[in-house]
Amino acid sequence: MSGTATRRLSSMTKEQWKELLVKNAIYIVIFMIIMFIIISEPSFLSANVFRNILTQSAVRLILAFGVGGIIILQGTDLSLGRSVGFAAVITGSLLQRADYASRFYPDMPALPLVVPLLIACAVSAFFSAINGWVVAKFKIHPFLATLGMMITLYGVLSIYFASGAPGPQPIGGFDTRYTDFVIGSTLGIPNLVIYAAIISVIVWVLWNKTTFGKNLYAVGGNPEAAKVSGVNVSKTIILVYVMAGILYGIGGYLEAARIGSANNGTGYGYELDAIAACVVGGISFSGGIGKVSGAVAGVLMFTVISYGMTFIGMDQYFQYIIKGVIIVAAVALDAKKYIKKT
Amino acid sequence: MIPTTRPRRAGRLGAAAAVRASLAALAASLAACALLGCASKEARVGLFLYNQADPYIEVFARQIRDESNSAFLAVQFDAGNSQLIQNEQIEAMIAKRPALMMINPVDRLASHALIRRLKAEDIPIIFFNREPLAEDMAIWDRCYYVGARAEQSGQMQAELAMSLFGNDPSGLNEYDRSGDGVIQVIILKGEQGHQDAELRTRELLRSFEARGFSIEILAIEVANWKRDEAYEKMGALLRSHQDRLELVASNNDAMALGAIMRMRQQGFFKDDDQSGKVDRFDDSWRPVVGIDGLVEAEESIREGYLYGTVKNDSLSMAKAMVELARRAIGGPDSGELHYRLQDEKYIWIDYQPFIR
Repeated sequence: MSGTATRRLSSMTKEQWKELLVKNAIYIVIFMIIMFIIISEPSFLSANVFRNILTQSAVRLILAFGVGGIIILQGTDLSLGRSVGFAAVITGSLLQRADYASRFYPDMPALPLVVPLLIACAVSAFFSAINGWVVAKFKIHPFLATLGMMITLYGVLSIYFASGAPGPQPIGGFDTRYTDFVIGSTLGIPNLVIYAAIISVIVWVLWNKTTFGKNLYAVGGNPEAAKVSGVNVSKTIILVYVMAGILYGIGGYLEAARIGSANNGTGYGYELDAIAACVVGGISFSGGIGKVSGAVAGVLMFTVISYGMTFIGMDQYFQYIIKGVIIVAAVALDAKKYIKKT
Repeated sequence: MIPTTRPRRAGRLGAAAAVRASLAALAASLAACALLGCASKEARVGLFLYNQADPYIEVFARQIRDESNSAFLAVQFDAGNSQLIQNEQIEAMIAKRPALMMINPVDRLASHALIRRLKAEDIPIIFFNREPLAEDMAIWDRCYYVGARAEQSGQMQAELAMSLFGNDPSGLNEYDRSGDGVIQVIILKGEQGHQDAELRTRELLRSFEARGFSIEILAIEVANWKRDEAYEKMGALLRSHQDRLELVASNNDAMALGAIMRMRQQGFFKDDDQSGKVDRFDDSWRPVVGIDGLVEAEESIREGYLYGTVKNDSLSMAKAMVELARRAIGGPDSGELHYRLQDEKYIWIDYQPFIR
């Protein structure tokens, strides 16, 4: 008797161990890659590198929160990149140095830094609200609704971009108040990291401590059930998109200064990085599941890997292969969990 | 029992072995990359490319690495046409304390922030392929630019055409098909507002004028540097100007090749004796000139379609960059510079005309 019990126990722990391994396989692989990076270049473990990684994660994290909310609603947002690009171009056009040779608005006075931020957020939120409205009202799949918006926004953004005094030229020569505000440091901490931390706290509160947050998970998990229990599904969807738009606006505002220039190609493809980070961080495409900490982990892991691979001088094309495999593996594991759930 | 379990076990083992083998392969290739990338022999120099998928840049980068052979170790990065990725790659490289950086910016305006950043770190910079603004270059005395002057490519292109037409403005030769003493030209422009496109077009026209050649512009068509776009647009242009056309001047080779393709369909460039080469003295031949010196363009010149092109001399640029880097790093065999360093900042490499 005791023999069979032991056998059952040992076989169970083996099963559990296996499940644990499968569940966390993606993290184990990522951990191995990081270990590999450290072994091949021990100087990777330095305060400087750590700082760089946090700084480079900041804007990505803000964008991941935006699209993360939409993914919790079983949606996705392909227009993220163009929205960020539009916000970056608007910000850049409004915050050029007075003595810069080819200004977008030659007679623009020096604005308070917050004005372009508010304008960028308002514009991004407006277009994102349209996405939400189309998705909620016409029940169009978010992939298609936002695909349309992605293309439309590129048109609108390019028209605005070409309307400046110097014609369709990249916008540069930013006001140093603005660039210092974004890429400077306070008490040794990069400002970008501080902004990302503040936004993380706000998003955490919104997702976890408010009715909006409860509705978000309810609608994402099961829209029918949410509707029956009295949640205004359309309003929730539109609000989530508006929130995403505001975050894209902030992202674009920070991005222009980080790049040092903006044009109508800025932001191209950012949606894919943000969505990939969310997925790796456990925000499920099947909806209703996803945490702030997941988005943070996903973004950090992606940045560590891409920074690390660049750091050891790995070929860019090879990096694409590794990133692609990680994304598919993460989704495969996510799907496995989902199958188990039903 | 044994026969049923065995294959299963073997199958499992096989799968496990396959996984292990592929992991090992992955690890090995990772290791190979890492070793190639970071075997530190001497001074490390970051080589940042705007986009490795651009064949011209790919060749250019190879020339720089070849030239650098023993002077320093070039660690190459590809930004994939994203200034953001390039900024991040530069940050990663700064953490490794390179002796110098060679940067081909994705966006020339972003150089402002880069120069300020690298000045703070005291890492000298050699920019190439895309020239930062002069005001940004002035921020620091240890940043340099090696490149060609876009103006010169337009001037040389005009010279190629003028010498074909006999070099005498008052007595054009048989290539003035109408015999009216005026050259009827179609210009294919890269991008509206693009610095190189504007300069090349302006200098082309200015050079004709300066030498006293009369030209009549049949059309200036923007085809965005693209071969297929030039092919499309040339169709409409030929419908209205086919009979009067005497010269096609294109801002780059790709558009020139697209135009030639369309012209051939419209009956230009006949090969009457079936020699495989187009006869320049045939009535259907019209000169088309490009800029860049693509391999395909050289081929087209050999076949007799494209009359000539103006080549960017990337090999000389690579040599100049390596000499300049040596000097800036201050190695044992540094110092000698075979190129003129204008204002202690700029090295200008001449374009090279290329005809059959």
